[in-house]
Amino acid sequence: MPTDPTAAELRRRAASLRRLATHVDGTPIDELVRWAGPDTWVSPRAQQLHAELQTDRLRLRRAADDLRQQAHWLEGQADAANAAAALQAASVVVI
Amino acid sequence: MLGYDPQRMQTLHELARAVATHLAGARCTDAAAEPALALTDLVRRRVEEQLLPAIARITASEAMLAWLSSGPGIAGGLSGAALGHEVAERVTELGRHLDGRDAQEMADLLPVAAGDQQALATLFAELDPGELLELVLLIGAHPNTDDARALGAAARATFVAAAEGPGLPTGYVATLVRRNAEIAQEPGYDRRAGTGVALSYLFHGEQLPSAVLVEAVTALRDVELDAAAEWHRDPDEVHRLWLPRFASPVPSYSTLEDDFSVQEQAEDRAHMYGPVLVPRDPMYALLDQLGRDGAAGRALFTDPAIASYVFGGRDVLADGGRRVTAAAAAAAAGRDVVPTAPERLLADAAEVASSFVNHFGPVHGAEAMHHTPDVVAASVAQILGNHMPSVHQSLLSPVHFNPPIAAVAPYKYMPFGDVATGTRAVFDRFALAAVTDLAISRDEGLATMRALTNEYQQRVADAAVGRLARGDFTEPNHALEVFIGEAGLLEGFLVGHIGQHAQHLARSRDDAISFWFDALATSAEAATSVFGGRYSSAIVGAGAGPLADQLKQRFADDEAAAVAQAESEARAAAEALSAVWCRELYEQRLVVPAEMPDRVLASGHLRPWDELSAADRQLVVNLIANTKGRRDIVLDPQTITDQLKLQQADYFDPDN
Repeated sequence: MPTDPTAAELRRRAASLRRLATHVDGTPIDELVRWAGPDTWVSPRAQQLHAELQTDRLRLRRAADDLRQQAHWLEGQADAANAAAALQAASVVVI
Repeated sequence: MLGYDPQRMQTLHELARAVATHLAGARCTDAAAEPALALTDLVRRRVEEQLLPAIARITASEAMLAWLSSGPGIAGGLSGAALGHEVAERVTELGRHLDGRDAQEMADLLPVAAGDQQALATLFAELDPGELLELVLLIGAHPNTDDARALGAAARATFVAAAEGPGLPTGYVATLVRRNAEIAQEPGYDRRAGTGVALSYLFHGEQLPSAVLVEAVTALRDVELDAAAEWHRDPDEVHRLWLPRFASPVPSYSTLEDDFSVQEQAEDRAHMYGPVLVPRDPMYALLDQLGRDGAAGRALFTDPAIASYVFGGRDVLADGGRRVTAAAAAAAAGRDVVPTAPERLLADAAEVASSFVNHFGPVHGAEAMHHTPDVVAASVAQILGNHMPSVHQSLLSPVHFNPPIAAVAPYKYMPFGDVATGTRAVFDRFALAAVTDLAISRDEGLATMRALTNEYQQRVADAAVGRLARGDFTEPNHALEVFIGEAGLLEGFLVGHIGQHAQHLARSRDDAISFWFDALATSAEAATSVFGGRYSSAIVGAGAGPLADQLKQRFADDEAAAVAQAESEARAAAEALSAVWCRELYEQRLVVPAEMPDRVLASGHLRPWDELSAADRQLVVNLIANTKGRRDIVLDPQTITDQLKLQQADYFDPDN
């Protein structure tokens, strides 16, 4: 169980970033991209908007990945903070 | 507007609304979420302010309804092979001139063909790769208008659709690359200045099939080496093929260059050619694609000629190395590199890992250290971490390859049994040190390395104690000492590099080392990390060798201080390793102290280390250390410390 208050805060931050990543992933942009293609409309403007949506889809995926990476890092920091607190609390060297 | 389907437009409108509403609900107060929130806001505004109004304008005007049952009006009712033939003819007819009306018409025509498999097959059977290239060059040289950008997007989407659908004719992509290189070497600079970005643009869109990527990278290497030979240039300068050779005036190709986002270009400023080169050198767009296709990477990077060229033969640092390391990570340690993967895939992944480390380390390692983006450290850590058994074996049996080569070997390590289990990467000792420095030079990479090393240490302890419990060794205490000492060698190697490069981390040297060992001790409480199962004993093989030269230099400067530091670090490592091994000895009932207090147990198992007080942690270690277990096993913490110091002596001895 986490005992260090810093670790708890880091885990809270990680959880909030993971929630946002899940929300971003839940954007129904795949379907939007599918319906925004030439089967639906054909024009230079439509083509441009379709291409931009494809790029946005990629960016959103990367953003969600980045958020999870950041969350993972924070969790690692939390683990480290917990371990540091435990060692600091130990008044006698183990070995 | 040339045509639309009213019913589908209604659905499109509803979907656009749903996306905007969903994105408006994105919330997070953490500062680290700001870039993601800025992006969700940008996308939401694009949908609300551009897409939805465009849909509304079109559906409000019946005059614009021109959809024909056989296809949009622009195609004149043509479809299938006839449509493909018509499009090929019209592209060819453009010649070397593109006006606004041509751009608009072609932008309308190409998507129709892209949605028709038969038309695509005919189009690319008839359209010479050189003609496709000429079209993209025309678009690049055209003023940066909406029509030109729409045509560029349409041309690329048609190319990708053909590659995905009916497939491109054999050798099409290789010819495209070769023709591009020919134009790049033509006299005059108006067209050749655009060749690099034209090819980059075609590869910078949606994901291309693996076969296309393999053909493109292979061809790119061939033309670049041919050009280098012709110019008597070092292969490391082949990127100059794609750069304008006159400082001014250089024709603008912003229609294509704008496809590479401002952010992408800004990220690459550390390199002298970075912001200029990345959109112009097609290798970066291809590496970007390979970062999402591990199978293509394995097909390419198990070819020694390709691997040595991409990882160590040409400049790939214009973006700080982010794309080449991501491509290597996808191939060597991507999501499909799992224990249950086919043996062939795991062996290929091991070969790519060896190739990356052995070629990239000596050539780019030191330079990359100067401006390592966090993502580079993370990618490199992903490779080393997932191949940690190979790293470990490299330390136990160091090798050096001159010239660099990729190598694999059967993986066999006594704690896991007496027979080989799969294939391991073999790492050159000096290359491994250089690449390890990269991996631990940023917090992100350090955390990844720690997590994956923890898993490996846990796995070794678990397997070794299991064998001890089964009576597999005639001298169990000696075997225990050897295994713990070898585990300490790995920790000593890694912490040595961490201490040396702590200035790159957001922490002091002492903090970095404390982090490293504290996190190892923590692993005794949490045996299963988020990385559980991401590498297997089959892919986890032995690697190259330890790289102590820099450590040696550090300690050579002040031998007395070095010895004191070695003592201190060995003690810290011993404490951390004791926690790992004590837990395994108890959990596998090899050493079970009679008087273990109930408060440190839960359902007969040791509680997680974090749940124990400092006094109880010490008590547990002391109880286990002072109890003779089955098969006369005794864990002597002092022996662990001595073994660690002994193993690390190789690094700390300046004469070694």
